[in-house]
Amino acid sequence: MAGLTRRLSAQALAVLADLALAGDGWRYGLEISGATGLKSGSLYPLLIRLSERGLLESRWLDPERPGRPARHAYRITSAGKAALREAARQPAATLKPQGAF
Amino acid sequence: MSRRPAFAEWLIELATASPPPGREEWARAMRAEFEASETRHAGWALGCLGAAIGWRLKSDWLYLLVFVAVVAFSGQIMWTPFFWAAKAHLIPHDLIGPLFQYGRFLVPAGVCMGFAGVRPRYWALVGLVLPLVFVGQGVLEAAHDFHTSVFDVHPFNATLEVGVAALVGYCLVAAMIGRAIGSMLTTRLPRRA
Repeated sequence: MAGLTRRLSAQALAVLADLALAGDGWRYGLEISGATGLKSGSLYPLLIRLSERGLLESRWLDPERPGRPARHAYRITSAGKAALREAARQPAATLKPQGAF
Repeated sequence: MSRRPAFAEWLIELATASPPPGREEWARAMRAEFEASETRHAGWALGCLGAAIGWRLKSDWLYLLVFVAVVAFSGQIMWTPFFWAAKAHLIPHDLIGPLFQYGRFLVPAGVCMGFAGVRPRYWALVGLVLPLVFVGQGVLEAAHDFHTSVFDVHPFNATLEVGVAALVGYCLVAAMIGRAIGSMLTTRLPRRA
């Protein structure tokens, strides 16, 4: 796990931290982008990498209002939480948003 | 209901059209967020386009590298086989002239068809870029070797503009045929998991 965590960028940690704040709730891409300041061009490649590593899971959620499209949502996994805890133990780690722990 | 900015719509359409294998769901995810946002901001769509270009480059870098190499050296690549075949007497002497004459039209079309067949989604890029570079190289060579004006070059024995348009149209049609063949083969021979 330590080797895996070391390779996580500050941006990846910021996304995981934002997802951790939501607990077991699901977060949308726009919400993560708003919280972390990541633009879509950086966010989606990052979400793909984190998903492929098993650090987050995704699913399609039904629209909140009729006539709106279904949205892809994301939630941190237990492996993601462990990676985040591991990163927090490292002194150089910079996590956003602040107050995630 | 906010008004849809047409430019942003166009960008997101471009970003999410025919994503590479394995990225279909993510393309739909990006589009869904764009649709869900009230503002439908062009910046979001532009970022999605950047991500999609990254996927394409990652997925098709070898294809694009070969295409760029063929385009860059199209003159040499296209004529070298004819030259060596003629030199090795594999081609009857009286066929050399017609081959060189008609080959300059057949070879670019064949190359366009081949590239479009391998990656059907790039048919328009292939059909446009290759003939334009091919003509450009020919024009520059003619101007350099024969000291002729650019506008004295007559592809298809027509004026430069008409000749270039004819060649581009011809190559686009060839690329479309290649795309159709490639798509048909992809449907019949699905990729193994």
